[in-house]
Amino acid sequence: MNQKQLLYIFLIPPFIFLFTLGMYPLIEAVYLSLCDLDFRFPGTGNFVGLKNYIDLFNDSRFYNDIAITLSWFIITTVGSLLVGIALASIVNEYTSGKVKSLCLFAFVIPVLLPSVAGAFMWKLMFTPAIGIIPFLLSFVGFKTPILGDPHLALFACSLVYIWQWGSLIAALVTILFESVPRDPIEAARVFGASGFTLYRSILIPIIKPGLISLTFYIMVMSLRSFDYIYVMTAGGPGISTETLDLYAYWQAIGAAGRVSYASTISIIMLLFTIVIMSLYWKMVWVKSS
Amino acid sequence: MSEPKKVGRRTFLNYAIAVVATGVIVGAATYLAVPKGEVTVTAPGTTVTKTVTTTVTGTPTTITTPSAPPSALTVNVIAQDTPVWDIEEKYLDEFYKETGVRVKITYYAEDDRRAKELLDGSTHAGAYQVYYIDEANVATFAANGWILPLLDYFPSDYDFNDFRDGFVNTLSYKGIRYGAPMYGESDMTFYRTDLFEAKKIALPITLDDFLDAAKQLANPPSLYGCGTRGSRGSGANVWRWSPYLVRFGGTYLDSSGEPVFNSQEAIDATAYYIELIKLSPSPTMLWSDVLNQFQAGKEALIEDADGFYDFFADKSKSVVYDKFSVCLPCKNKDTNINVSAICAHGLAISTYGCPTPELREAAGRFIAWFTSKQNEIRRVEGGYGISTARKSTLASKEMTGKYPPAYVKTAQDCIPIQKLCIPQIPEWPQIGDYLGINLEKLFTAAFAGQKVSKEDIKAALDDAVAYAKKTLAKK
Repeated sequence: MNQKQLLYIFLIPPFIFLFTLGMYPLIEAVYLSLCDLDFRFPGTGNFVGLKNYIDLFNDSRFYNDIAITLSWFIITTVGSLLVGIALASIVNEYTSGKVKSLCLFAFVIPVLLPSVAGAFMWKLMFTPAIGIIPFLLSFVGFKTPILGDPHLALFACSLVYIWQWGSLIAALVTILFESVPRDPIEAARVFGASGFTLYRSILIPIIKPGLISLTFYIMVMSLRSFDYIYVMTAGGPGISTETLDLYAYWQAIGAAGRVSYASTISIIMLLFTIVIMSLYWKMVWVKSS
Repeated sequence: MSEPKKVGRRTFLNYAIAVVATGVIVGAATYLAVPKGEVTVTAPGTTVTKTVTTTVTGTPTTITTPSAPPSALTVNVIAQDTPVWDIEEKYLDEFYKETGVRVKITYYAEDDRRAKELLDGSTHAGAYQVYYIDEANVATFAANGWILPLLDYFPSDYDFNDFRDGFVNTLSYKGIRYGAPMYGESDMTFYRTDLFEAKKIALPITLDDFLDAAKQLANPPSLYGCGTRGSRGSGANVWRWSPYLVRFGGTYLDSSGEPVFNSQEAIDATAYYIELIKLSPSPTMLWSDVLNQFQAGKEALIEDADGFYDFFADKSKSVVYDKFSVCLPCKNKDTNINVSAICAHGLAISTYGCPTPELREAAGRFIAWFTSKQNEIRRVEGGYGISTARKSTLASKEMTGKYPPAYVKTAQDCIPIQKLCIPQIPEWPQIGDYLGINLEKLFTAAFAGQKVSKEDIKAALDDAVAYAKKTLAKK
């Protein structure tokens, strides 16, 4: 037996185990989406072909939820990146030593909090009459309950996401800025570059590979943020903050036992994610490589 | 390219031992790291063991009675952790001594409990002998035959007729008793005594009185006239809207089972409810928001479950603990209908969990013991007297000694008007969820100052009825 054979002996079992663990739920979900399983009724679970997909494509709530999912995805991803880079730039430009370390520590704190706890905390802060945010906004004459307004609720939920993940990005980008060699920065300063120009033309292009990876990560996290919306609005008012995963949850567990219909939504969401990630990969990563 | 290095038997054995040792260490560390809960000695020679295990969706806690002889029966109970269980689990060894039946209770949070039960029932897994059921799932379980008629196994010496009728009816399906209630809530009007006295406002008797009083007392943002649930959901805004539908003379289904909650009565009820929403702090409140706002002294008047009483009376959490009282829900003077909407939670025997007559009898005996008069009195003494399910408990000296006369009298007066206001059909959660979405849209629009006409209300209800018809037709 040589080292290569030994490698296979040890690697193949865990690989099979992990592959099975990863693929089985997916195959099961695809199969369920082709059946009519509804926990509430006996005799269901029969193969019905593409019926669930046809029903879903005729469901107006599905199209609303796709739009909300896309909006959420764009707002949270772009918002987190902008806030993160802006904060990191400010910290990098105006602080050093212990103050910088303190800022880094402060940036990491929000993401250490479980997202459910963070969402609950912000929900309380948004609560009319007893929350701090309506209290402060009342000084400028703003009296609308934010989570109760269909036009504002999604932005309020996004704010919580950006608060958590934007802060983490700020910490990571600050560290990336630290790793940039000083020579090109000094040279740029000698030639008169400062502030926004320095960051746009020198620093951000240098850390671009790191930023691309961060963006990829934040995009994945954005599509996995069921808990923020569930805690803060549960999809409301009406369906103005209902994302696809929330709809699947209501169908399977929250309001009904429509497991097959929920699986269909999940499969569509999976395809949606694959398309977005592939596009991003092709547009940014492959191009920059 | 160099030849791959040969691995000797000894080296291979070393690798294998290292892998096994790592596995053992990791396993042992994991075992030690997982909290095992506490072991409490409750009586000589017996123990109640709390074992904590972790699942994806929650952290169930398992309570087990002492090790029983191998031949003894074990009753597995799925439950929702509430103070009722905290109080009564202390007496489990008493049941064991009396019957020799071992009881194992697994606790989940509400949604997890419902999901686990649904899975257990629908797959006929039979992992539990006793289900924790409620008004929202009794129809599904009974219609599918996942639970057994209770009275066949409920010992007569435990006086089933002593349970409050409304609660018993709520846990019944097509007239058959499936659950023994152990917890129930009934609507009451909660009002701020100080504010009513200061403005010399009479106690509200009719829905018009309620609205007038709320308008007179409203002074937002420091004080809102009332507070009511607006957030979507069959257990949220729809739950609260339903008693108004009943008081305005409407109903969800007609005698043939057709959805008719887009009637003129339903439209009027919605228009009235929108007036309440406008006087509330937010159009999207959940029950917890309504409760918190009243506790914080921000609402003058609410109609909600009597289970709130203990929270409002708690000195450490409520600023109104000495400034509130209760009275009956308000009636509609035009229809002369009044109702105190109820919910009930109880215990039922699982069909597939109890395949033998012995298990069914053991499960029935446990349910009877758990919901007995004696245990209800223990709950009152333990500080959890609100929401008890027996008439005798309400009239007991323990109850009157613990709660003020206004509460006890109102609770007794509510009994004749108690009613479950939602339909008991398996499709209800789905239909209720859809209706809740449409209602929430109306509420948020009205709260934002947009004009919501009766035509708008009718359109929203028509849409919900169309959805309900489609859902019922699929059956």
